[in-house]
Amino acid sequence: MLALSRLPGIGEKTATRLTFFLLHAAPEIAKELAAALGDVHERVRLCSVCCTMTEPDPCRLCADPRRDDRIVCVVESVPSQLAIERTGEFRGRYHVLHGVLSPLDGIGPEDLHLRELMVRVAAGLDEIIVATNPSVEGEATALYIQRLARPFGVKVTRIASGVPIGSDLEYADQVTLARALSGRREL
Amino acid sequence: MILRRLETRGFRNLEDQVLDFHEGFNVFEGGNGHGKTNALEALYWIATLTPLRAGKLTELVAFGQSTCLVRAEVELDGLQHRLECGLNGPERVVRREGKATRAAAYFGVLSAILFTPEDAGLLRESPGARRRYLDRAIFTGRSSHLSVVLEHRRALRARNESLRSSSDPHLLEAFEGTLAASGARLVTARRAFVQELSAEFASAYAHVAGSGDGPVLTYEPSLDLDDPEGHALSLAADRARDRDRGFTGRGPHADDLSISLEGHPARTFASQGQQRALVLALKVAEIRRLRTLFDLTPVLLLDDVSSELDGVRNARLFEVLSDFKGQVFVTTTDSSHIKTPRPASVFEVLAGRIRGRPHP
Repeated sequence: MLALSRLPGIGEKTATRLTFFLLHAAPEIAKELAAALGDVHERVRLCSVCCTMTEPDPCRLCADPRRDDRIVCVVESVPSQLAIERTGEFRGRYHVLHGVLSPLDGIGPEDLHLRELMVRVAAGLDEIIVATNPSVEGEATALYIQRLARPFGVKVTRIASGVPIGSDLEYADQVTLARALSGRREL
Repeated sequence: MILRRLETRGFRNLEDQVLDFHEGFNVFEGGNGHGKTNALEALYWIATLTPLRAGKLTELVAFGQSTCLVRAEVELDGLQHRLECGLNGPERVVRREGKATRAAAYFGVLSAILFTPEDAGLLRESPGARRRYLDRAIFTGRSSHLSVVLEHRRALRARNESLRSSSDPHLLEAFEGTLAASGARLVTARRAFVQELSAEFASAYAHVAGSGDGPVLTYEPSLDLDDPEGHALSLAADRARDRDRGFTGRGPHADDLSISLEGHPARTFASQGQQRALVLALKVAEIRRLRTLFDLTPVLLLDDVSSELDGVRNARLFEVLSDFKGQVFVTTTDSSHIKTPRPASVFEVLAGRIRGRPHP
């Protein structure tokens, strides 16, 4: 119970519920879970190309021959990558930084997987789409990548930010709306 | 906007109680240390989510307790809104219409403008106090200004840290980019605010001081640029010097608001009485600007209007406020000094207990 409650999003009650579920359910379920968890650190590693978490190396997305090698979308984290991949809109490659530049937290360029990104830039790319979060640190990381990539003549773009589609404007918070207004475009 | 009802629980020295307010004037009367200003602080906190005096939020919680709650019912354009803010240990809980919400979505129902005896010192204080005044005043009309201020502060700290800990020029340039973006927005907002306030300010001063000395309000930016590109170039130009000093020298964090009277800086030239009148005029101008631009009538909070301190000042203040249509809250040691231009409710504050009594 204690071990389970250390996981994010799981409090004491959920941990109790999970524990009793595992005790009451068929023993195979607990055994499978234990086996899956037991070697998670041995089996899952970082992709040598895009630095996402993967079992095969290179990862499934890097190995897919149908994807466009000339465009790389840079994200902060694996969950961000999964979110973009779910859209089905993007058919290029990814690069996962595992963080953003944050001098206040002592996170510098050497703590992110930027060297691997620059290897890919040097090998030749048409475009880098920087899809870090729209925070101070996310924006600074985008600018940093742009500075690094500039000598290679690769186009660096930034994802737009604004009002979520499918939600009413009235529910958008003022900060998001203000940003959407300042980033308006002519029709 | 009218604050109809306030409920406090475990807040400072106040008893757990529910207060129903007058839509005109409300006077909290009591001896020092009985809790008048605490009542005003509860109002200020629920309006701005900023404590009036407490350095740490946890100071708001009554001694020996771990939670506190302030709840308000506010009438705006004929609709009843419910606001709630509280502390659960160190954690702040904010609710609007009974639903937990982020601070960004909380504001917009209740705005307050505060008058305290300390205001008179604004001109003699550090530029930082005047910048805080500017940002707070802008926020009162447009709450999204808060996010610009916070973003700028974060970017500034990040650049300062990079100046000290990194020799990577690209890293500095990256944070200069974000700093310039938020800095330019901050300068633009402050400049626009000062310009909007200026005309109202001159006429408010003439009203308050009874003379037309023609005070001039000027925003003094240390980087006189509204565009992010120019801002970023200036930061880049300052880089070597900033690195030597270990912090960012120029930007909105080093700007000032100056007031001059008859062409001389009021900070050194104006008498104490004139300085008081100038700051009062500033606030009156703020109220008029909100009405003109946003059709907004904020709630006024007047702390410590005690006649033994300055009878003339108070008489003037109430005279100026006589054309104010909104709701006013006043704290005083003796309500007989207060000649409210409109009907009022008087509340006696005694050892944390607040009791309404009819105005004599």
